Amino acid sequence: MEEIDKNIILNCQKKDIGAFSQMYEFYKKKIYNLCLRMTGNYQDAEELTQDVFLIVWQKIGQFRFHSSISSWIYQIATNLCIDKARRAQKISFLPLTEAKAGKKESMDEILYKKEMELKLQNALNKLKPQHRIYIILRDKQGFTYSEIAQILRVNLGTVKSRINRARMQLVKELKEYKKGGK
Amino acid sequence: MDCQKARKNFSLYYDEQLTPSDKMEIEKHLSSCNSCAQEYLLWKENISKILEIPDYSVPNHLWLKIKDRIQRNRQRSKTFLFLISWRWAWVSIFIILILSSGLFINYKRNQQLVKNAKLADFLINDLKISTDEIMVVQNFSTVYDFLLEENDYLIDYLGEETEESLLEFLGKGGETDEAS
Repeated sequence: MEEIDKNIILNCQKKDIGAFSQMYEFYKKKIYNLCLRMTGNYQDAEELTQDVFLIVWQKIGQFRFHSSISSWIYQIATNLCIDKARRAQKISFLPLTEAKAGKKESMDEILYKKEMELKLQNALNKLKPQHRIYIILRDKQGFTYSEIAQILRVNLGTVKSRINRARMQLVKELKEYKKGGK
Repeated sequence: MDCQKARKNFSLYYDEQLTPSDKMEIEKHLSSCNSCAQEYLLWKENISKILEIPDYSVPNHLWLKIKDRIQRNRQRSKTFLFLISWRWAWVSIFIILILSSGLFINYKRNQQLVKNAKLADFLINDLKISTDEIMVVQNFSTVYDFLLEENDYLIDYLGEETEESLLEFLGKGGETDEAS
């Protein structure tokens, strides 16, 4: 994963809010979308993203460069997301309609995409949070197995088996959805 | 490799996490087993769809909210640190207040006891009032205040001469020349 400049981290540790805003800009989209896919809820995703960056701000002084800053930030984010997802009673997700500038899509294409997104998110929601996180980190955000092991603080073997199990369940949920059984 | 084992390894095969020999085995199986080959294609298609889930833009107001929370936390920390730095001072002040109150109460009580003793001594030795008569009023502090207000009942009880001496005594703050 791409890493932010070390000097920005050092300035954040000196409580430079300008440096911190750069750090925020660098990681915000990935963290926000991680939170969104884990909770399936825009409000929760916003709150969680705030919580993540607040903790990063408070604890950046404790970061000793033993791991990558990305792993460290993602550790914070994944812990909060899994906790929140576990506590959530019911997840209902509605895809936003985001029109991308300059791109013309037909109504059919937009509707298809929305339906696909809803289908995928519903299938994701059915997974346990501790399995869902593997799908998002690996298949959505593109982390390697060893990066995931570092983020979630598990060994490589655990990552392999959990990704396998999560994917098998996801495919099963998608098949069920297709059948119209759920 | 059988079908069950092949399907269990789809994930590792997809991510190229298999050993070369295992990879060769699964590829051999997929090339010979139509069902597993189809299953793998479907599996791969479903998993790759996850990548197609769109990423949303972060709401613009989020940074302002984060900055606001940082600011509020700073204020709270300052107040907390201020109280913490003064905590031993607060504890000391509290202890001093408790001790002072105790000493003051004790002093007042002692003063009252001294006054009462002097009054009793005066009544008994100077005015020759019997202890039985003094027992009319049980609480000497009440007697003292009582007399200061020139309560007629007790003055009448003691008699006019006694009243004069007593008032004189009280006027001097309850002092006697001697105690016998």
